[in-house]
Amino acid sequence: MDKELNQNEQRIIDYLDGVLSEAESKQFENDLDNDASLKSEFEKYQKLILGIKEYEREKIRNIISNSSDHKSEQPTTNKQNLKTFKMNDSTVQKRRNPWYSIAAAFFLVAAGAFWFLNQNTEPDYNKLFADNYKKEVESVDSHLKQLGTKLLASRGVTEKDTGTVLYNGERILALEAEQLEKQRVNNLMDGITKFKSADWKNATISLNTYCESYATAGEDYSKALFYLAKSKMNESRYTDAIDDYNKFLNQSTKDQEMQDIAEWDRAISYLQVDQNKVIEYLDEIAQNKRHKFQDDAKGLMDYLKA
Amino acid sequence: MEVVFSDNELIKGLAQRSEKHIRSVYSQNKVSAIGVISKYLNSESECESIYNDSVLTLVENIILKKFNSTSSLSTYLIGIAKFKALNHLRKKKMLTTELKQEFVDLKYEEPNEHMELATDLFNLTKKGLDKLDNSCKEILIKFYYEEQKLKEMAKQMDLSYDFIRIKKGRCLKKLKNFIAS
Repeated sequence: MDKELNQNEQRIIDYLDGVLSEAESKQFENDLDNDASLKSEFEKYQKLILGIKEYEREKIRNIISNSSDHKSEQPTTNKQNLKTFKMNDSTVQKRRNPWYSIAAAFFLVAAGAFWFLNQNTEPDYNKLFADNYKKEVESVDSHLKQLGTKLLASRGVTEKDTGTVLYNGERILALEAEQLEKQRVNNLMDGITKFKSADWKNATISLNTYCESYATAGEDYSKALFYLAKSKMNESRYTDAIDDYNKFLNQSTKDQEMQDIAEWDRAISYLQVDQNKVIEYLDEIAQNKRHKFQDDAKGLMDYLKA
Repeated sequence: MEVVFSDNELIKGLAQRSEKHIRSVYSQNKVSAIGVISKYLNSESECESIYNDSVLTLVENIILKKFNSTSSLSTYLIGIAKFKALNHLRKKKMLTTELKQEFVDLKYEEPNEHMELATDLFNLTKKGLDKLDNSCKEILIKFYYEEQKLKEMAKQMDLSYDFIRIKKGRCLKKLKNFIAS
């Protein structure tokens, strides 16, 4: 049993996960009937699980309702067809005043022109995103090389050394610290190597684990956050990628090129998530003369504003 | 121009909840599915709502690996839409004898009805989940939403079974504490 959970909590979770035996389940259900505090705790966990499911379901619902807002493919229901047919049928039987006919004809031409001019006003955000997004990172090899160099570097510590150092807030033997440091660099290289081989899913898993374990390692932590965000972008997990890019951009130590890519990716991710925010982020880039993507941002803004 | 994906690409993409794949499946099938739904329902908004709900069920069935690959994705989606339209009429007690038979003949496995969760509680859970670290969130979602087995998750995440089992329990408790605070 896990020491962090009390016996009741463990039983509730096991019951909800369906891992109790039949006899244990029956006993638990009996206890639920007789113990109000157990029942109340049980209901809390039950709702929590429901909340987790609903949390994910809501994300899918949002994508669906965003798709549903696109006007380009409004289907016509059978009833609509019927209604249109009936309207046409009744109008042919009326004799029109010629003045009205001319006005109506003029109106139809104007409406047609308006309709035609407005056909393409809604940009194709998917295409815009695809045209502006790049899955690869040019410097990935040099990043791996830098890490490789770190891996080879040794402080010359031997097993005989009894000196201690502070590692992740803990005082440990220098040799142990060196081994842990090598392990850390290896873990980061593993994530970035998976990214390089376009294995986005496993890159996300490795880099996530790395960020969890080494949240204080400065430059390398920033690097891991950057590649984590990029892997999620490549998996089309735009909202999650934006979160990680925000974390990366809040780091004090970060590479300039990665910062530019992160700001650009974040801006264009909003093409997929919330188009109202795209201009705001593009504008920040367009104002920045040293930004690698300044011209791209200006061009995209012009297009979206047109 | 919208990219057209093959069924295999769509299934892979939908399993990952990829936005572009969800959008693609939504727009590619909207006309035909709403055509079917509107045979049973009058209101345009009801048709749209049934269609949206059908796409959600399709995505969830793929995530939960309940999709039967012998039929095409479009056929499957239209089957779900038809079922939902008839079920909607059944709940309103508006099924005619003929439609009742059609409903019985559908042989579609009814998805679990989603239990209602109070909005304020849902918002709290949402905030709590957003506060959780990524690995906790991932474990809880994979286990409770995607219904993945702990063994399978441990293998995927390169962790031991016991570690992930204990971590899941702790993450759930952490989430409960976030909400309580």
